[in-house]
Amino acid sequence: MEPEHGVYGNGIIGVASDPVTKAAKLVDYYGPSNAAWLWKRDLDMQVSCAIFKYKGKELMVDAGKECVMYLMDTDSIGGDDHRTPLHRTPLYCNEEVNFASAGVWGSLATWEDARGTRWVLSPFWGPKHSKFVAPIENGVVKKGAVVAFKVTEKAGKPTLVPAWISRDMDRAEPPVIANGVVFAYGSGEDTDQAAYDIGLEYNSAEQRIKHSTRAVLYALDAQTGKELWNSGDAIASWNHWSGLSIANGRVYLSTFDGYQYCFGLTNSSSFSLGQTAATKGGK
Amino acid sequence: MKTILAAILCCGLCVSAVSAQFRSTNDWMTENADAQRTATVRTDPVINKDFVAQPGNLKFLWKLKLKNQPNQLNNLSSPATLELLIGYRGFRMLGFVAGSGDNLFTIDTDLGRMEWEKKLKAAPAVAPSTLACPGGMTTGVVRPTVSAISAPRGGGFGGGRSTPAVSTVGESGAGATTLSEVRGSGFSPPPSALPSDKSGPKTPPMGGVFGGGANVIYALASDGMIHAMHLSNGADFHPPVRFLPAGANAHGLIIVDGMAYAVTTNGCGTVPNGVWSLDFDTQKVSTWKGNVAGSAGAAFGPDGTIYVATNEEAPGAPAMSPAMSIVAIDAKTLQTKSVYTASRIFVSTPVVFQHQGITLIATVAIDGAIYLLDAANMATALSVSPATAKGAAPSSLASYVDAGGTRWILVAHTGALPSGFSGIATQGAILAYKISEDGKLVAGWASRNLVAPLTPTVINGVVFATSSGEFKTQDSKVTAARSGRAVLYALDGATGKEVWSSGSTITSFARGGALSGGAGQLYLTTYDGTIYAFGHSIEH
Repeated sequence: MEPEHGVYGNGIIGVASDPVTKAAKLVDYYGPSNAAWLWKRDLDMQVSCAIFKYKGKELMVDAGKECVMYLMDTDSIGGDDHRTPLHRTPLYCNEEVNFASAGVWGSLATWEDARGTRWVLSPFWGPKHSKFVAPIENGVVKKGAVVAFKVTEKAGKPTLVPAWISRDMDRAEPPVIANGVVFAYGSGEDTDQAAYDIGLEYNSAEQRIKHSTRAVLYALDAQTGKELWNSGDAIASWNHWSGLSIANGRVYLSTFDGYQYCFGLTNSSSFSLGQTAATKGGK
Repeated sequence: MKTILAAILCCGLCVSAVSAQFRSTNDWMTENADAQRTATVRTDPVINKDFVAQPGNLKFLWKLKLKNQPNQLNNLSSPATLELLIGYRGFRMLGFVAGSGDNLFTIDTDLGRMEWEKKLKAAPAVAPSTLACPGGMTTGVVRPTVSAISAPRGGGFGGGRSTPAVSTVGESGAGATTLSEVRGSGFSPPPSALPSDKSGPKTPPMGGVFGGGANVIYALASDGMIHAMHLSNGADFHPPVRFLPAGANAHGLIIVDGMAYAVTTNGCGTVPNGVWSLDFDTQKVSTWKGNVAGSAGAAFGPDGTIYVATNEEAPGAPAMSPAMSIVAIDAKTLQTKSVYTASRIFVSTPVVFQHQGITLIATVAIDGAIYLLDAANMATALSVSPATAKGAAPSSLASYVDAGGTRWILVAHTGALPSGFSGIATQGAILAYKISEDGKLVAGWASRNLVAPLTPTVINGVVFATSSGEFKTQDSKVTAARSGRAVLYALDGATGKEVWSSGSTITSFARGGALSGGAGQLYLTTYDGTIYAFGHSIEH
């Protein structure tokens, strides 16, 4: 992050299309005050931002492998010095300061409940940070989880307040919210990129495929993070950033072995999902 | 599909992973930094004269009390360092410390946090501990290095992540810039690593390109077994190998050009004094017998030749192991190649450097006179500086070249300033000699007063001197009771003027080798088992 030299690494940039030339123009940027540390330990800001309305403002959240979440006002994402967001959470994972298999990867999620509470959800990999506490925790987190924050105004300024942490999930991927239910999954992927004896030579498809397991889909109570349902051993393979989608009462997940799984409601009187189809893809 | 996946899997590890954990000129590889024993780190991404002179830049960063049992006055070694490991637990800047109780400590030096620690399994000592033969682990943890003197390389890209990334942003519409454009044409990859093998010793690996391959540290346990361990977690790289007999008083362990070397002194146990080598491929141990002077072991010329200085005649030593000499030894056979004999005993590990295209050797005699020799012609000394005082000379030296090209030799002198030097020091000082255009040793500057100074350390032209606070006696209990506290100073390399001090931060005294450092930090270990870090602070 050296804006004076046109380097915006380990930061967030805003670009807009020039109405005349159509070229993308830099209009704003934010670099965390510890960007040098993020660079040194390879704690990239590699998560897609989420944007939402809050009390007449347009706010944005983002995170990275360091495992803190930033809350920003899109009018000025880093403040006057481009280093000061509205709010920065404490570390909620990656106490080991690892560049792989820890931190936040992929994207965030946000929704507003019926009472008007704005929620922001973050998946993360690896154990929860030992000093991070949420009012509701759903067991020991070793391999990953989803953490939920409420956007709350304090002294006239929006902040992020921890609400709950989900159960342990093996490499929790970006969650999706539908009708007050959070759908999340642990991908089961081996995300390690190095080994103690061969270093980065470990980071090969052969090694990582061999050590990946299976994905598990979870449905969580969006107010508490409590597990409502899981897919058990229905899914036979793992996936790599394939994502989760929901439409018309069905949840879709694809896996590395070329299958697409579809889960849907089988009993309308209680929360119960059943596997409706697993389709092998291919040419 | 596998091809596509392999490409995808690389996401999250930036292109700059090319700056892997191979040998960096910012690293402190072995005792006195390198194979030439210069106690100098030639480049640094942060530390320089201007940085140090700015108040508040150089700070106390952290300290750690390590769980180690001292042997006599020996406690912790100065750490070997690694500016960047891309390891299974993350990107790390590490320091490797040996504890006299056969303990190893690997510290995340960014955070002052223990990465891993290990107690080596060693057979119990059979001889009682004395000041001369303290027992325990007597030499530091080291990383494999080479005897060749590499050209200084700037910090940052290729060495570590202590400086900002080099941008690869190209012109609009011109396509991406390439790594070769960023690096320049001078980049050459390090040797490839060898695969780990449990069956027996292998040539020490140097780490691989893109952080691949094994990366290993070595330690010499109190029972004479040499341990090779993965530096990321301390697991054995290969089983321990017999190097020295048990009970040796070993100094200057170094893994250089695929061989291990150490020096034994004081005739401890039944171990003859001399230079020892271990060929990792054949497991053959060779010995050159002689009373080797100094605390940092043997020094190596850029062609691999070993240089030692000797003090008194060693009982039972062959005729080619002369006393009061500077000796060149073949690194493979340990046969004497050349000898220069003086009329007084030497007390210091030689320092080797290149000056105007010539390899020079410098060492110190017991009266403080520095001897300067041409490695290619050791028949006569090029220059001998005036004697200072008996007992005033140190056990190792430091040497560096300043920005103007002047070659300096630094001496940790004990006692009042000798003639030729001006200043206010009464108990000790760093004396700086420079080599004149006609190849003679000329008095340069003397530092402020220092109590029992350690061998200075030079980082990017800044001289770091340690007032050790040690009250030297022949009784370890008296020394421990009457010693004061160490103070670290930064000195202007051209004038010796004090530009920074650690003040009262350090609470115990220090002894042994030079403090180590590099990549923006300095490390000092003290008698009470504490390691202190000073340097450039970045927000975590």
